[in-house]
Amino acid sequence: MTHPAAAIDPSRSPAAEPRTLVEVAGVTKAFGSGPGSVVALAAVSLSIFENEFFTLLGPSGCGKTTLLRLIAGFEHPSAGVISLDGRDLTELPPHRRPVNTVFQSYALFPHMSVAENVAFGLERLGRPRAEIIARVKHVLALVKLEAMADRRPAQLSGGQQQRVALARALAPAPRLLLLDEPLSALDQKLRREMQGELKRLQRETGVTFVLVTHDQEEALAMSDRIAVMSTGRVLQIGGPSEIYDRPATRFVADFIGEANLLPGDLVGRPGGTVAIRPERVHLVSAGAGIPASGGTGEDGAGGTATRLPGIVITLTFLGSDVLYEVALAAGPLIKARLRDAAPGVEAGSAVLAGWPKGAERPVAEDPLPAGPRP
Amino acid sequence: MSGTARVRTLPLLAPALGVILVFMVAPMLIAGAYSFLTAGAYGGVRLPVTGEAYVRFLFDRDLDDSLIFDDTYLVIFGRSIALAAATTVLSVLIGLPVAWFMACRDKATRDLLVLAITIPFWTNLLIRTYCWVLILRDQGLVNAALIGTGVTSEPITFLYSNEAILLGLVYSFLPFMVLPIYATLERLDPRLVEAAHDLYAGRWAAFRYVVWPLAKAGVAAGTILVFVPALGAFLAPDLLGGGRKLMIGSLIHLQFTSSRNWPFGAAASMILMAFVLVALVIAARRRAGQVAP
Repeated sequence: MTHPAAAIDPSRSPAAEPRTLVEVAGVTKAFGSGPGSVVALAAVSLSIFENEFFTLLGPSGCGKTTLLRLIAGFEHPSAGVISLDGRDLTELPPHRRPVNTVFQSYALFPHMSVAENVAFGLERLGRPRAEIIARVKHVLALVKLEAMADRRPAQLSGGQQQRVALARALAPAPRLLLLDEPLSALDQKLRREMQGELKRLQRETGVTFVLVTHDQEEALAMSDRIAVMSTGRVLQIGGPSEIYDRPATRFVADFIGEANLLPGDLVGRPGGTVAIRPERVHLVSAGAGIPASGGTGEDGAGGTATRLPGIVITLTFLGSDVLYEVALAAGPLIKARLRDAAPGVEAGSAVLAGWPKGAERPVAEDPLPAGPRP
Repeated sequence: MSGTARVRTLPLLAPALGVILVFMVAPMLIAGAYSFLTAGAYGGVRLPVTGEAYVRFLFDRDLDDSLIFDDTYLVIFGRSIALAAATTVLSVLIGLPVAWFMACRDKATRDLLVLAITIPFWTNLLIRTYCWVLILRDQGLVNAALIGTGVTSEPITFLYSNEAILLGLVYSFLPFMVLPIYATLERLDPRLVEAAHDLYAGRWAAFRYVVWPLAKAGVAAGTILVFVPALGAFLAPDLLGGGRKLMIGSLIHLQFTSSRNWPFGAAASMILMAFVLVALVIAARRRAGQVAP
């Protein structure tokens, strides 16, 4: 089987018209049958564009890994169609799909050297020896592991094994690279480093990446677009700032970053729920009537749409920020994350909690069954 | 290790060393010593010390005491090696798919299947081998079925052939091939097979390049566990070969029982052991050569 080698073209403009590479249409996956069956995916539809860094984000058990395994071909959908480049993949076994996977546990072949691992896919494709040698060398240079070519996986650190797994999956120049929680086994510092590395590799190779993760920071930092999933459904698809600023549902607002979820009645939107990011909330000492934080700009320009009275319950110093928890007179708790401690506001102080016009976003209820609330 | 440390660890090693001495070294020394003695008239051994037993393995003594080359025992030896080798190959061919099938089940089913594999051990091997006589003999199960269904009118003679011996040997030793292969396959990360498929390997390529290299250690262990005892087996050749197709194990067995020639039996077992040792050393050398980076 053949598929065109992805051109290495760093000058490619990401602003070009997005072209759909993968189309997931009404895909349902149930494990088991009868009354004991578990629905992992419920009629999921989404498009992944050519050349983008797409992330499936959600808590464990939301179906994101199942969707990845369906795209790779390790699982067969109970219903629906997955196509790539307009070609239906559903009946194609994994070894006939121009798709490669970076496994969470890396799954490196322990009895082969690094170079043999990386060459594996190319050899199965029957590429000429000289081409394989050159390609392996090139890909190992891409992940900065040239010096390790003759080592066994067991002789490498976790981070190096991760790079081998990446090189092995990139070597056959797949149309699509699937990454199943690739950074979860690495420590914090290495994870940060690899985030940048993955982003760089995606740009340099021009391959479409699909990342599965439960780490919202990782998703926000790396992705062009994110699909937020919960209980087998896709709740919202959009760019990182869109997802963060305009969460579509209660779950999305809560899962991505921190959110105050307040009944809409409080802010003149009866019936619904609104989400307000804690960093958009500012506090005014109830007596003084002076804004206690950086919210003054918006205050001057558009005026504060909402000001709700409350009492400060706790005050937590977070280093760069201070987090206040305020019990609103109307009942709910609200969190405010301020750059600087508000003068004269302490635990027990009566305050007015306010936010600029438009900072509150109405969010929809989640489709049933409700997702877990972290 | 310093001298004092050795003195201190000796008491801890003593039980293990004792077991090895009593159950391994001593019987071997006794067998070795017997092989250089002369046969007693009613079994047992007596002086003088002689190498006659080893000479007899290859030569017949003529009336005038001259030695004539005699290949009787070499033929038996060769047949034993051939049958043991065939047993091993068949055990791998049958055992590998069985072990793979077992390893792919869920935990509860796997445990049940391991138990099922060991069930034959609960019955004596002599009885189990004799059951094959009942199955294969002219009035046996197979012939009754063949005649009953009209496939044949006259019973087909299965017993007392090399094939019947082979069947008995494979039946006896197959579990010793399945279990070590299963043990290695069970530890094999299923993600490795998925990774192979993901990297454009079909079923055969995934087996050839990923499963087989990782299962080889189990196959090697199984080969030793099957080949060595099959070489010395005497129940299957006695019962299924009817004592007409002797194997080295039957030969040794005979020398210590009806033939009452203990030195010759001991010599034959020494020769067998030497052969096995050489074969194992060669195999170990080759494996070491392959593994070395």
